[in-house]
Order: sequence, then C-alpha cells, then structure tokens
Amino acid sequence: MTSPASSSEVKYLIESSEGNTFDVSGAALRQSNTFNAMFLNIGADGPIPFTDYNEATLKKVFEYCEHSVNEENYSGPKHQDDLSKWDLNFFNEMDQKMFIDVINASNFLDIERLTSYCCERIARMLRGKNTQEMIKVITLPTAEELEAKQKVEEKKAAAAKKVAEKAAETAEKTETLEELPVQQLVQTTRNKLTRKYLSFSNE
Amino acid sequence: MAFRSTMVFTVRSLIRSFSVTPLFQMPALPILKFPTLVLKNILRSIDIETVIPFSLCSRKMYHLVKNFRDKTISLELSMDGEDSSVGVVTPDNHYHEVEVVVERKSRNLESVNINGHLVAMHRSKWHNGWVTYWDDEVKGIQSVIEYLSDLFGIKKVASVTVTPYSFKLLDVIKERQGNDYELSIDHRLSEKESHFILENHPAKVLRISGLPPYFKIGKYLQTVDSLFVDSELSITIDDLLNMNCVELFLSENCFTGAEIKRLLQHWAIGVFKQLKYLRLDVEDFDLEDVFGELTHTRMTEKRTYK
Repeated sequence: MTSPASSSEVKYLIESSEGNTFDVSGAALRQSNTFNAMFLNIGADGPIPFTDYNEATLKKVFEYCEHSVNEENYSGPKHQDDLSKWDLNFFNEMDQKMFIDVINASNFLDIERLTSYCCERIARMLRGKNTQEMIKVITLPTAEELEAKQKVEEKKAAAAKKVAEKAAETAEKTETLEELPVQQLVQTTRNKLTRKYLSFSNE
Repeated sequence: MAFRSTMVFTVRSLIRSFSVTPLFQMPALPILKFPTLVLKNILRSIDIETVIPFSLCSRKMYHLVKNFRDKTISLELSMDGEDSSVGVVTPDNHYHEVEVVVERKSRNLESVNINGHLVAMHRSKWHNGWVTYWDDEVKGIQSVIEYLSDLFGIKKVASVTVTPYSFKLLDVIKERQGNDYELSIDHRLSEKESHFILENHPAKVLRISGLPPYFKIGKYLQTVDSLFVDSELSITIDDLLNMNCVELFLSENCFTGAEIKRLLQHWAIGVFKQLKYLRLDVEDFDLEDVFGELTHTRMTEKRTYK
C-alpha cells in the first residue's frame, strides 16, 4: 500500500479522529514536514494515524496540499491580494471552527505554506480595526472582565488563606497536646480552669 | 391570550436571533489559544499600522508583539513637530504615525493605555496611522516615543523635523538622547531662532532650509558634526579652516579656485581632523590648477557616501 520509494505515485492511508481512513497522494503528503520526519524514509505499514484531527479538517488540509503539489518554489506567504481564485474559495468555504482546526492541523503537520497563508488571512482580518474591535475578534477579556476576574481570584485567595490558617492553627493545637506529657497536660488544664474561675469570681 | 403570548414569544425570539447573529458579524478567533509558532507567524504577518493598536489590546498582547515581531526588519523612529507625531519608518520609507493632539474636552472614542496614560485614540483619516488626544503635547509626545521605542526595540529617535513653533519638543529628545539625532527645519529661520537652535540643540546632523543673510555661523562649526544649509551663509575661508565638522554642505556659497586649493591643501595635510564630506560651489575654477599638486583620484563610478 505504501512505499518510501517514488512516493509521489503511491497513495497513503490517513486515519482521522473518527477512525475513518482516506487516501492522500505521496506528493501532497510530502509537503508535511512532520510526515517527512516520521514516515517518508521508513514507510508505514497501516493507515497513518492523525487522530487528533477529524476527517473534514484533514481532508481540507490535504485538499490544499494536493492543489499546491506543482507549486514547488515557495517563497514565503503571499499577500492576500495575490491569492488565486482557488485559494480564496478554499478559505471562503471554511467556517470559523474549521478554519481554527485547519490552522492547528497545518501547524501539527508542519505545512509551512498553508500555515503562513492562514496566518496572513488572520492578519488581514485585523487590518483596519481599532483596539476594541480587535479585542472582540481575538476574544480577549475586556478591562471590566479582567477586573471582575481579579476580584473573584482575590476572594478565592483570601478564603483559601483563611482555611489554611485555620488548618495550621488546629494542627498546632493538636501537636501541642500530643507533645505535652500527661502530667503537664493535666496541670495546664487545671491552670486554665483556675484562671476561668478566678476571672469569674472577680466579676 | 395563549395565542398572544405565543406570538410575543415568536417575535421576541426572532428579534433575539437577528440581534445575536447580525449578517456581517465578525468571526471570533481566539488567537491566544493557538500554538506559539502559529501566534508568532500571525504577529509577523501583521503590518506596523495594525500592530500598534494590537499591542494596546492588553499587556499580554504588548509583550507578545514585543517578543515575537520580526526583528530582522530594521525600523526607525522619527518625530515630526509640524503635526506633533511620532512615526515608525519601515525600510521601504513608509511612515506609520501616532499623532498627538491636545484636546481637553472628552471625546466619545475608545481609550487606550499608552505608557500609563489613558487616552482617546482613533484611526487617522488623513495619514497612515492613529490620532491620540492628550492634555499636554510634550507629555504626549514623550509617552508615545517611549511606548513605540520599547515596543519595537528602537533605542533612539533617528530624525526630528520641527518648525520654529515646535522647538519645545526638542527638549524631549535632548533629555532622552542628547544631540544624537538628525534635525531638519524646513523654514528659513530668523536670527534669534538660528542662535537658539545652534546653541541649544546642535544635533549631530542639522539640515536647515535657510539662515539669515549675515548670520555668523563660524563659531557653531566647532560643535555641529554635520551641517546642511540651503541658503548663502556669511562664512569666510578662515571660518572653514577653523571648523571641526564631519560634513559640510553649503549649496549657495561660491568660492574661488584659489580658496578651494588652499582648503584642499589643508585637508590633505590633516588640518581638518574629522572632515569627511565637503560640498561647495565654485567660480573661476581651474581643475588642473587646483588639483595639480595634490595626489588625487577622479571617481568615474557612483559611490555611496556613508
């Protein structure tokens, strides 16, 4: 099924997170540096498990690789304006979740060209926006949210501190009781009782 | 009654569905959840004009930009006193500016924290860059310089352009980096302004459009490294012989061949300790007579002087 020699002609089986398999050409797969490092020289007996990613995502990633097989001379990311119609359609067909999955899969498979295109696309999305709009796009917490989060954390820390202090106090008392010899313990208790009695009588 | 409540519910849910998912809603991209390499790649793809507001989103974004930006691209800082702005200049000479506007009344704009100051900011309609609103111009310029300098790792402001009305901004630069910058003044200065600049702000490189007709420049040639003047100066050959400049370019002064010869002979025996570049106009110039006794090479190709 798979052969390290003449890898452009052979097909490799890829296994997705759902356990489904599908085949990808060797030429497309060779664009992945992860694949090159792991399987190119030693070959693969069964399906290659890329089980962190679902079938749709992997198919999308390898669709890109299949398309760009002939573009050997890669010289860094293209500007968005230079993208071909195919490239633009490729990106426009994806929803936001798949776009994120494709970036992560592309990063894992170390497909430099696709990762760079995706990053360039994100950079393009941020262009022309002000700070508040950017915060919304990249889903950063706002100043108010950060303040509220900090207050909750402070409260939690204070409560944890109290609990720790109480625990330490209890442990100290237990330790004191355990360490004292029996006679001394009796004397201490007696002293305490006397003191109570005295204070009572004073009143 | 039951029918009415169902209708109300349906209309409300319709309104809600329209308000929650408007047609052109910006997709959210939690980029901080991406692996570091992807994040680094994104930050390297963002242009300077976008990176400035991006760094102002939060302290975390500021540090990400600072650490992950492409440091192979050399950037310069420049201050323009004519419109009170600080700009980041890219190698292809694009100027991305942050303008400082003095306005005390509050504006309904987004606020950002620049160097510890909460100020209003919006995109400039006229330039590539941003407009910020401050109570005090000097404080604003100072804060913007420090912010951009730290963000992009640029230690000094390379060039400053001022008008006679914005000389006060030079104090910010003087306090920050002494005279280590290039100062350009595109106005013909009065005598008072000329003395003020040459005495108080003798930048390493000084480009002036014009000095007054009888302005005695001789004494300032000891302190200024490079002087470029676009008008005729009241300067003698003795002033030139006493100078300590590295570069001197006087476009409107004419010297005779004999004077140039004397000057070159002094230069050849090492009188001018620092002089590297001298450009003067000449009249009655006999090339053979001037260069005859001097060992010299005629340059046939263009050389870049640094």
